[in-house]
Amino acid sequence: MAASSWIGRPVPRIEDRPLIQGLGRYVSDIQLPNQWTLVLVRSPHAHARIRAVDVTEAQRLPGVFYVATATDDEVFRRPLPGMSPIAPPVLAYERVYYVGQPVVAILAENRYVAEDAADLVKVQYEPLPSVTNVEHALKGDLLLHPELGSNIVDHVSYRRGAGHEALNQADVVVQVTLRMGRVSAQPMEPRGIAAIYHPADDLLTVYHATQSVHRAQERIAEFLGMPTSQVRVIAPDVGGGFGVKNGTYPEEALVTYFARHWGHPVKWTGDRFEEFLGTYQEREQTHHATLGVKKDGTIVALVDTYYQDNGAFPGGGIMVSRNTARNLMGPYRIPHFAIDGYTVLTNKVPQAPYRGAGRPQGHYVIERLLDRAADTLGLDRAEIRLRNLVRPEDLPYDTGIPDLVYDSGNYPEVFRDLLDLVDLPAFRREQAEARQRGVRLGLGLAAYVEISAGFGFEGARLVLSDNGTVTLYTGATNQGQGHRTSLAQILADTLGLGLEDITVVEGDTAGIPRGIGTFGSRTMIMAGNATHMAGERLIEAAKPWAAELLEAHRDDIVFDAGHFFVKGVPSRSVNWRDLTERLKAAGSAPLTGEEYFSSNVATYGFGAHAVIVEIDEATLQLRIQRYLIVHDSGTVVNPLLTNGQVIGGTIQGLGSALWEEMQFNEDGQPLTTSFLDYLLPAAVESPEIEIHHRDYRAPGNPFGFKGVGEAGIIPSQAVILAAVEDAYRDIQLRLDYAPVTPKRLFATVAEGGNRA
Amino acid sequence: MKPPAFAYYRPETVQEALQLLQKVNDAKILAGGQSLIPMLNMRLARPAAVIDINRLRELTEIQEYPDHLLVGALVRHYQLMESPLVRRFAPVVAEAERHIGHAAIRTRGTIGGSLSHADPAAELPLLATLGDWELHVASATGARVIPAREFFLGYLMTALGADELVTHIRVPKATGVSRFSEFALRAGDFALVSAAVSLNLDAHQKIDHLRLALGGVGETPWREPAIEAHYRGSEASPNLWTVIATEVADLIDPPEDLHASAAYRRQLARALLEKTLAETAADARQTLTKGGPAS
Repeated sequence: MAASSWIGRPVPRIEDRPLIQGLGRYVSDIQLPNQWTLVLVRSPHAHARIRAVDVTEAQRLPGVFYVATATDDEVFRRPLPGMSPIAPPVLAYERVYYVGQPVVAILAENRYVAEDAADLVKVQYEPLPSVTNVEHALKGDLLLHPELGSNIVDHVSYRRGAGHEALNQADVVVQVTLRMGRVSAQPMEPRGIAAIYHPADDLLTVYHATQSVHRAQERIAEFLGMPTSQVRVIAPDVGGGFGVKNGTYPEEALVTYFARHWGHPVKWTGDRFEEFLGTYQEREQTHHATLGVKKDGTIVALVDTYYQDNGAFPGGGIMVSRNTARNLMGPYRIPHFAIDGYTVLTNKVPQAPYRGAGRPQGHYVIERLLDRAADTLGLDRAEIRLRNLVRPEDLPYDTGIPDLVYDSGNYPEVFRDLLDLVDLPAFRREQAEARQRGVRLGLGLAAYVEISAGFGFEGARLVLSDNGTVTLYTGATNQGQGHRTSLAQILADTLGLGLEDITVVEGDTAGIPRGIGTFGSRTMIMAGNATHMAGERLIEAAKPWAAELLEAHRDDIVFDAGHFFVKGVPSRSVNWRDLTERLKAAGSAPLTGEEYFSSNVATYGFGAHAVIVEIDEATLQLRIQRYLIVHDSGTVVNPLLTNGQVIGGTIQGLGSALWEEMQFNEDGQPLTTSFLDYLLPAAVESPEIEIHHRDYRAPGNPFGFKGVGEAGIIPSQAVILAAVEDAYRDIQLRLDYAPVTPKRLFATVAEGGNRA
Repeated sequence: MKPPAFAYYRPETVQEALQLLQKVNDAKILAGGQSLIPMLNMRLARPAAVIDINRLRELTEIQEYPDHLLVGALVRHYQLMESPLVRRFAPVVAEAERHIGHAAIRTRGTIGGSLSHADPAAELPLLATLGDWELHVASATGARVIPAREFFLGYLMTALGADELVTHIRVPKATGVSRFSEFALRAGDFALVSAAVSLNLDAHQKIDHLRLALGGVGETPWREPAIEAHYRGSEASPNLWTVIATEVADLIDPPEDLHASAAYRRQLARALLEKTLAETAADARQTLTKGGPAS
């Protein structure tokens, strides 16, 4: 492996300069010649029969080109690609299943006219009883999709050891129902897509705010019945994704279909309202969980049956529910378990992965159970964790879940480091003192394993340009992660080049034939290793040319830090620039190197969070006094970007722990559809976050990279609820619902602290 | 989130604006646009016409008179926060302004707009109620003065006629010490509850002037002069603040919404009022020991 001069350096992001100068180019900045604007009329009902749709007036409005309903053409009744076992039609046909489901599509000269036309569309609905929670859905008296025979669309089940029976071996059994509210990702840039069709070449070019251009390409080609070679998908600058820009949506099918059908460029850019109504959501689950422990706190068995309120269609929610099960063990040794997870359909917008995607859900349950067990045993909450953490001598540790084998780190040592940083005895003294002043202080602790990658591949294709610089194409798709910098750092080390000699091009299916995309904290692991491998291949491709210049045999050529030389004679060397000169002179094609890194081995980062909250007894105002993270990132490419990921995840996690919740009324109407009511943490709410690294190389990939994108958000709800409970230890406050808003905290405290 | 079509007028003078208001049906005044523009974009408001008054320079000044300030309706929040006149003669306004939205909102939003919009959780309607401000209102056919406590009629409802425009606001110079506090879920959010107190103590530490107002606890800012009168002459003490705050909290009938129950709002009102009373009293004592008149 080449000497490492770039990997590990806190290089500021190459992409920042254009972005902060307003030179970013997002889908909404793309103006295709004479483009038509797509606007959707969405269902105002959670569940209703469509009696009639009258679009005559809308169609007559000047500036309106076309108004489409599901009855107009079979294409609009086709199921969305990539969603099984049941997918919605592109436009609602006969029935609507959630508020926000697209019913009518309008093409007009601009969004103003299109929204005027939307006002003129008359849809007659016959409202139907709706299913808005899992308890109702499970009764089965109202089946959303009778063809499925049940409202349960997926069941995941894992057993280890004696499972449920093992609870008999426990000294103490704690049982609790834990809930998590729904959250909405709300990337700064809402979803958007534009498409233009070139009939002469039968080629469709799509500009897409997506996390995966190749997956989008496959879906679009499938839906339109085109070969993938005729669909080019480009992700320009993308303003955040967090998982929700990675799935199948009606707008994607409509824009691409219309662009090809009418031979006219079409664009849809969702607005904030649509981001609340039509973009998939996450988290909402109810767990009936039981933990059996010995008197000393040792875990005997975990039994958990949970239900995910998934909304009206699978979306991407089944994966979230399954991933929840894989995260229920957290970093702890659990000899017996029985897990059953059900994905349940309701009349809400579907679920799909949102940063964490099951990791926070699983950890929330085990962490809260440990707190409950410690409280019941009269054991310190830190102590019960130390007694159950996977130890170095247990590694590799088979969790009992297929393909999950923890492989690296020293969990107890890292956790003890966190406790030392907190200084527990000093905190307890301060806590007692503050209580005298009417201020409640509380400490929360939570640990996690961040499971990343472990499937598929990612590739890198390198092209040596005429001036000795290298362009890197990859299927990974940047949405703010800073890959133009971090991948360039890896390649700079491999090729012995400076960052200025490397251009990273992501998000274009024309750049590289295959790719998977950026989600699940996989890009450094997959594309990072692929980048290095492609670099090695480029070096091999260059050796014959270097041999020619050095008048030696290619087998004798050595490459080191940007220089090719004959083994043993480093004083006479040629560099990349020399090679390109030679290639030009010879009239040769540019050198390329293309490699794909495939791996089914996940990476396992470990970490722990501690938070100290301060709560005003009278107003319940909560302030975060201190937030500490000890975190294992594996090999770090760029500490600035790594810490940025951890901090960003943590802040988003605070959102879902303290403020963010999509609320619905009993009829399935969403009540929190603007930033007035759906509260994201902002700068003032974001505490200083201390990050301490304890980095252990991942043994499962050549560079030892681990995922870091989700570490911050995994323990957030658990750690905050724990801290708030600790602040009210005197009344034995029990919190079983996240987020813990002041309204909810007030109600729980007013009822004596023990409301489920 | 695009507004439906509307006619747009941009008068250059107040007179012209008033004539437009008289002539044009179903018109809305556009000042800072911090409430109207979102409502238009969400199609919650669909006026036939918008009259943009941002060019009415006559309404952009803060003038000092012997016992009051006359504030033009187009004076922006940030100006209220920074103005030396406001800081000197109505310091509680500058204090409360810090809680209004964010810098971008304070740069555009205006005093006339905030009062005319009449959100019961907003800061300026609360201070207008506390400070007995008067709204100078004009139409093409005449002018009148509406006391703040008669101006706010209900949630987003005022005594302003369809053809009338708030031109100036008469803000009396403070005669007591005033403080403001609020509880919002995040910095810059609408307050769940806000409280403002104006107080003077005599040489014997007895209350000789007291005003209390609450925001976010009803359809309009809450104030009850009978209670204020009842405690005139009472001796200042922490216990008294608790008694007053508890009495007021029991009197109000706060609303319930997504972010707070009625009971939680009641507790917030009690807590904020008690805290604000104590802070105001501390200030008033300091004023006393300095020997100077309250300013």
